[in-house]
Amino acid sequence: MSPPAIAAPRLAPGTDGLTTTRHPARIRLISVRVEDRRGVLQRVTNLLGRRGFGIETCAVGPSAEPGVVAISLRIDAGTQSHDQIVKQLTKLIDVVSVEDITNSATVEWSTALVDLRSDEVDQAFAQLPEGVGGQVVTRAGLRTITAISGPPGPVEEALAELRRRRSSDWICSGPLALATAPARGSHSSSSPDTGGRPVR
Amino acid sequence: MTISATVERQARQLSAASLIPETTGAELLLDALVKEGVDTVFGIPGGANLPIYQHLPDFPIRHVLVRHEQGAAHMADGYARASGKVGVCVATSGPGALNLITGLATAHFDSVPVVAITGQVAAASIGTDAFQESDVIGSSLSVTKHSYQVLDAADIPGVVAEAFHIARTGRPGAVLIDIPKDVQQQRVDGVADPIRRQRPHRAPGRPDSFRMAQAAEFLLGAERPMILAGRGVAIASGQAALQALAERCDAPVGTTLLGTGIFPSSHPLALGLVGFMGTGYCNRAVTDCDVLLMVGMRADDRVTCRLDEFAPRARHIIHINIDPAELGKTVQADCQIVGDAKFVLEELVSQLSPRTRPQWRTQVEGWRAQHPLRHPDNGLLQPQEVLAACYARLGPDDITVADVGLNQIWAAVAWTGDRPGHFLNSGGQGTMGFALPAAIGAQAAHPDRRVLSVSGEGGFVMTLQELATAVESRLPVKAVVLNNRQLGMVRQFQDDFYGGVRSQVDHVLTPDFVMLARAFGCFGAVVRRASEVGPALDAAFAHPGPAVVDFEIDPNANVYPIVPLGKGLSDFVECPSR
Repeated sequence: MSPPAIAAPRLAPGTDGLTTTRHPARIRLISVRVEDRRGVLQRVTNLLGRRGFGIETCAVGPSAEPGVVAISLRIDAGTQSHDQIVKQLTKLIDVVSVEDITNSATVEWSTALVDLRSDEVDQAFAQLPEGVGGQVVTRAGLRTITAISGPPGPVEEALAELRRRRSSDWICSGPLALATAPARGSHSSSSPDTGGRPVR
Repeated sequence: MTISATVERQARQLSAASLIPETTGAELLLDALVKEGVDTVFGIPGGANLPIYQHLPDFPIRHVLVRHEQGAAHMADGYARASGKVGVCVATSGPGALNLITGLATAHFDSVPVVAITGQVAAASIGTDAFQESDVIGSSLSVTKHSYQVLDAADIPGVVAEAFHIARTGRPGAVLIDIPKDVQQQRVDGVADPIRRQRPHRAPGRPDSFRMAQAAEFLLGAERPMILAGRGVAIASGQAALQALAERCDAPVGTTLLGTGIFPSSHPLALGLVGFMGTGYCNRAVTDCDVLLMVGMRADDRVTCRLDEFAPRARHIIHINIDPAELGKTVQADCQIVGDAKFVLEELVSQLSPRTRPQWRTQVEGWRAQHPLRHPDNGLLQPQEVLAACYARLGPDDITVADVGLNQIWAAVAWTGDRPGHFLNSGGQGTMGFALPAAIGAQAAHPDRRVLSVSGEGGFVMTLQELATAVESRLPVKAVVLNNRQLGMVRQFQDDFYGGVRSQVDHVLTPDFVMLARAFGCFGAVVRRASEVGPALDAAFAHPGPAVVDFEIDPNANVYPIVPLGKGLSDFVECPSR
């Protein structure tokens, strides 16, 4: 078996991939940390659903802190006041912290596992948009499972291109999001007291 | 659970073995309730909570056996509202637990501390659609502040301690503890450590001093200041501070339905109820004020009516609430303060020197004279006459619980009390059937007081089976039924807002409430004329047990003033002149 092929992400000059993604105002990126307790994800999703917030993507997994689970959410606030996302989530007892990182310097990263015809891998990799990298995970005869990853927008573009090839199938994670600097123009809460600062 | 955590727990259990030999989960639960100061619980036994009931007689807890679990939740709610303590209700799994939901929603919506304890099918059967299994955690998510499903009896003391803390701390609310039957029977030799959290639940800390100084500055510069206050002031015991601030600013005070009683109704600055069915003079003052302070209230649609016409002349709006999520949710106040109502009000009082505003006061008194509360004089029994006679028979400590509908607004507007905690009603959820069971709960908290339940006949029949509870548990509530043989508020809406089509609002069959009362072992009387009101009430109060008095009121009696749906506060419609 040949060593895995890797297509390094091609980056535009002067960028390092760690840029703030532009979203429409109603789309919010929310980073939630919760205690690892039974049913906690249900509490988070139930609250958002019943208050009229649509969950576009949700990525959940362990965080660096033992006993704490990190959730990255991309939420469509629709016509609702998006301040309520942070304020209401903060009221959940199992929530450790909530941050609206929409306007923060944030890394967003999506990964997709893509099942391709083996003879199409090279071409598919060559066509990956700027910022997206590809990697062969495993080959099985005529099929090759690849992983592509990068900022959510370009990854979605790549998947849209692959959708046109009927031969492929894939699964894609919701974006993982991590703020690289304190939030600007958004507010976060790690305690029930937001200090009474005005919230626009 | 990880293996190391299991080993740690076993080690703890071994070390504690000598302290509590072989205690069951049910006993740990009851012991924990006693430690939280619980003296009364309301509930019904059933298949999945029998271990709790097996051990209940061994503990100093009074159990009030109810006739429907919704009644248990409302009783716990009424007990909590009347006493300021946490109310507790108990139900079995499946339908028992689900029957609590309406009552928990009612309490939670009005920030009332209630803890519900539900039995659950055995842990191994959860998720198998076992007999009387229900997902009570999932079903109650939106009507509780938090909930627990306990899978190890050793956790029970820690869970109960945290549940009570959460129920009563910060903005109070409902908390549910679901315990599988086998966990109630599980024998343990020790208990787990208290729950430790990364972010312990706490009330908000000291409010932002900059915002408080700003609020004081706004009030100082106001020519036409106005205060609106809600139940949060009562929860914080801030009524004295509220009165002091109103007097210092010479600002009139309106109250929400849940705020009824937090400002003395006899005070010259009192403008009574605000909002959809509020007094005309209060709604005018809100519309014309230049600085509005809202404290301990949410400002929901029943208060604001048409939002873009709410307080249109206010240069500044100050909003104080202990729950940050209530700030900026509807009304966009330019000064938002997160904090305890009493603390903030006292701070504002200390920062302000007295200032009179004679011109504004004269204007407000003009509105009071221009828009008096009126009711028809057509020879038929008017609800206001009944309520005046009721309130005249109550002392300052006595308690009135209103149901939902026309009766609720009539009772709130006519209320003459001067202290919070003595007029109770379901404000947020508007749960018909609330009054009788909540009154029974209030009576259990205060056996020595007169407790009045005021309902329409529509709400009364929704929970009247609890008369049996009242008689059996010797809780002598007096039920006043304002009987118009209709779903009255719905009828008024149909007349005024839905084309005058009266659809399904007439109770063609209304039971004979006197016979019904007697069937339950209560005193019963019916009143058709104004002259009979006083004697019937005196007879009801003279009776040592529960009583039902059926007042056959004017079937067309409406609530006035009322703001037509979709209109602003100042567009209220008044009672047609006599």
